[in-house]
Amino acid sequence: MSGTRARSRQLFTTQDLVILALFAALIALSKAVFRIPIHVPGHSGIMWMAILLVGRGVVRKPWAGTMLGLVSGILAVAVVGGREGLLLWMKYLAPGAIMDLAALLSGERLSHPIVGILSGAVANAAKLVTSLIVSLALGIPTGYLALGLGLSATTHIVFGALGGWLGTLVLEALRRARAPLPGTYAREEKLR
Amino acid sequence: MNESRQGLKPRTIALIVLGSLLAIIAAAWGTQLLLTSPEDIAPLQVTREGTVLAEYSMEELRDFPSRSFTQFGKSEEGSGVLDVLAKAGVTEFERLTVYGLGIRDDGVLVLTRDQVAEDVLLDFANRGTVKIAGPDIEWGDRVRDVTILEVE
Repeated sequence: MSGTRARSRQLFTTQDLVILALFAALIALSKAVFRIPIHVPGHSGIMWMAILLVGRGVVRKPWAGTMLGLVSGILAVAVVGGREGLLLWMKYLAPGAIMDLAALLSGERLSHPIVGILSGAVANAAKLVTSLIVSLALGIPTGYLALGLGLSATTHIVFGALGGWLGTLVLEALRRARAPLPGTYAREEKLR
Repeated sequence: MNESRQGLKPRTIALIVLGSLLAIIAAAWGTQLLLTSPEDIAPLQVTREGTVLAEYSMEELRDFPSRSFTQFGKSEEGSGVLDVLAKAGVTEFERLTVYGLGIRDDGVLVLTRDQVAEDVLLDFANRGTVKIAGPDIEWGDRVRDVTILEVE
């Protein structure tokens, strides 16, 4: 009985944490591994937002997206270069938090195409905004940051939307394939 | 038992989100139009031992002979680095250090004289700044928003 209470208070199970860690690693490495020859700002959002949405859609628990963003950000600090340095993790945390918000507002329906598209677009836009804030904090001249900002914002949103849509396709495919996603075992335990 | 849905309807939420995205795009374009001008882009400096040998605005850089090469399926075109250095009076050097703002990269790249070939160039980015590019320079090593070429 006490074991059941302990498990119900636990936000993430071991399985959840393993899955989140794997997706976080995938996000951190996505820029280096999935090299897309589209030389436009925000194009990394295609893979990034897709992986993020799938990860959040697989682990359907509050704060899973934020955890995913935080862990991938920590990994990215070690893997990805750039002037942001230790502040780089903020750029990864923001989209994860947005995914949590999207899941909350949609009732955990991230696999819905409209939800996925809008979530990906907002999440990638949040990444851009966070990047701008970090750059301002590092003393980058405002004029330089504003250069090409219009196009950058537009492409970030477009590629984020595309990534979100791709994520919904993967999530839907997983559900149709009856993949053993987290939570299915919990339902089996309740039936016993 | 029917439960009436509390709060905003999904369609309303979607419209709010869509409106917010359009507002972000409009704000970004507005910020770009209001806060930027050609003077915002600092001139490119060629330096040696702390002394500025020459300064070139982006317009002046475009006056150099154009060179190009194809990499990753994209044609890179711009002013040859050796041409820019020669105009600044640099004929011999052992090492070239390229400094940039480091907004999306490490902000520094060190090249030996042998690595600075004829096809290493300053490619003009859509932002209006220049980035260092060359067939033998890895994508991840490229320095964007180049501000200083320091020779030693």
